This record gives sequence, structure tokens and C-alpha cells, in this order.
Amino acid sequence: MTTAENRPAIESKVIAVANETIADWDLDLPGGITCDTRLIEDLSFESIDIVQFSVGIERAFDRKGLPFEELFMKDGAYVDDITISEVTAFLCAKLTAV
Amino acid sequence: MQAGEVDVSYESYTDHEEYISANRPLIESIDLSKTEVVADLACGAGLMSDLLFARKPSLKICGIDIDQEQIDISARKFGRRGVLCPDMEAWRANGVGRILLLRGSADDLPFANEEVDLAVMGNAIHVMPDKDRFLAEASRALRAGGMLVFNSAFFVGTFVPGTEGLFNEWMMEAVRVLEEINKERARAGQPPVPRARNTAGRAFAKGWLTEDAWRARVEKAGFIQVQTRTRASAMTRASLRLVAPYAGLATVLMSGYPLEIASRCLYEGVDRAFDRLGVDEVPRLWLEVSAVRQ
Repeated sequence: MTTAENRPAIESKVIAVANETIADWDLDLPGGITCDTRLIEDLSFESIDIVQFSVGIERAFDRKGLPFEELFMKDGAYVDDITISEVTAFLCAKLTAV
Repeated sequence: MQAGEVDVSYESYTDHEEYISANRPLIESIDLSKTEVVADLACGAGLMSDLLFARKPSLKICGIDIDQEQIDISARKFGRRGVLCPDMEAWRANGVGRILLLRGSADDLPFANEEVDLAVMGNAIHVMPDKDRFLAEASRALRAGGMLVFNSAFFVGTFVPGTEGLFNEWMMEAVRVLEEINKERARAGQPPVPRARNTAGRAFAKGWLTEDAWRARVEKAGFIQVQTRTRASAMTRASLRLVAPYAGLATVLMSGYPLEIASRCLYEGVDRAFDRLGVDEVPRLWLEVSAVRQ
């Protein structure tokens, strides 16, 4: 399967992990988590939430050692926010890389 | 302070040779020929004052820190040497070769205008809530021609490219330790480790500045001859083990979890991360800034 064919399945898993992360947070999320949901602005992630989310992603995809720093840092600085779609794109690139 | 069997103080880390080596070059770079009165801002356990006294024992130093525990650690250290001043009055009258330690914020200093020759801040300016206010207050306390000197290992560019993964892996291993603790608790019929939300700021909102942005900030505050540079220092397995469980770090990195658990997870995560990556140290850049008060 190509990355494009995998993408919906990957995104679905990412959303599932995000839902699992916020399960007992009592957030008001009309429409639930979508590809446009931002981890910080919409889900109020603190640093440890980002890490727990990352560990959840690795578990969901049965992979260890994914270079999340490439997703969370640009030019030596932490990014302002990350969308579910960006996480999905990152995984599409890294999971298919040999 | 201890949490369980893990040392959560900052003292053991600041006493470690690697940390001292990371700070010594900054202190050695300062021209102390015209310096008598020093403000050691966010003095912590007193490392910068220690290094300054080693170079010039006649200095008159006032160390200020927001954390009473750090003040107490410093007071014990300098008290044993007999160089501790009891109060501001005694320090002003007879403070040569001595140190006064006060609890307070570095952006609200107890000094008269232009009372200080040198203001130093070791690896703390990144946590100042209002950096412009701090710089303005340091400028007020410094005499014309006085120097502001600080360093920080928390700025944009601190990670040498290719080494960021270690710190990411360390945090992920800490979370895995937490998950193992929760599994043990589940087997014992206990609920997971409780977590209080909203005890820390949002992720990534670190307020780190680039080297150029720091230079601009300091110049904007009216300082001249602003010099910046970066210096590489090794972050070894041993030093990360020492700083990992520090309460001030654990309460931020694992916000909302009980300190004892957070510190244990961060501590145990260190070896796992280094082992996973197959390294024993990574370089980390420190930013050093010096400037002259107009």
C-alpha cells in the first residue's frame, strides 16, 4: 500500500490516541477531534501530555524510536502548535521510511 | 529536600564538576579589576558567588533567590566559611569579602540606584517571567559602566543538531516508567497515579529566545557593548541523573503528578534513554551574554 492509501488509517489511529489521552479531561469539543484539531490550542496539552501522546502513538503503531523531535522542533525552536493532520503526515513519512 | 529515595534538590547538580565547568568560563571572562559590589541574581546554591570569590576574595556579594531552600543551602555553605553577612546594614557597612543572602525576586532588587558594579545571573534568566522588567531593574541597580553578565542553557539553539532526540527519548522513557508504576498499582488493586491538570503552562510555550533576540533585548534595555557567544558543554549521563529528579524540573516536565513519582520517573528514564541511543553524553550549547550599563 502507498502512503496515500495508508493515510486515512493512520489518521484514524492518531485521533484514537488523542481521544484516549483526553478521555477524562472534560473538554468541550463540539464535533470531536478531527484532522484540524490543534493539540495545544484545542486540547490544552501541557508538555507531559505531548510526551504521553507520543508514547501512545508509538504503542498504537508498534514502533519505538520515532524522531518526534523533528515534528516538535523547527530550526532549534519548539513549534507553536501541532495539528492532528501534521502528526499524521509525520507518521506517513516515518512509518514508510526504511 | 528528599522525595522517596531520590534527591530532588538542585544542590547535588550545581556541585557537580560538569555544571561548575559549564559556568566557570563565564565568570573567568569577567574583568573584575573595577568590581567591588556584586549582585548574584537567582543565586541558587551559590555557585556563581563561589566562583567569583575564588577569583577575587575581596568582593562584596549579595545573593538573591526566590527560593528559601536555595538561600538556606547557600547560607550553610558560606556560613561554614565565616563570610556570611547577617543583614543589609552590616553588608553595606562591612561587606568586603562577605556575602549577604536574601530571599527575593531578581526583578525587584533591594539595592539603591547604581549601587552595584556587577550583576550576574547563572542559568536562570530564561525563567524570569518578564525579561524586560528584569533587565530594567538590573540596569537601575548597576552603576554607569557596571556590567550585566548571564548565561543560559535554555534558548533557541541550545540543542546541538542531532542531539534533540536524547531529551525527547528521556521524557518518553520517563512516561514508560510511569506506565509501569500504574501497572504495578493496578495489580495491587490501586488506582493509577493521580494527576492534577492545569498546574503548568501549555506545551512548547517556553519563551526561549535566540542569541540574536537576546542581544536585541539587552540593547533595548539600554545596555551597550553587548556581547553574546555560545559555548558547548557536555550533558553526561551522570549529570542528567543528578538534575533529572530536581523538584523545579519535575514539577514542570511532569506537571500535575506527585513530586515523588515525577522525580522517580525522570531519574529512571535517564539511563534508559542513554542506553537506547547508545551514548554516554551529548553536547549542549550555553548562551553567554555580557553587557555594560550606559
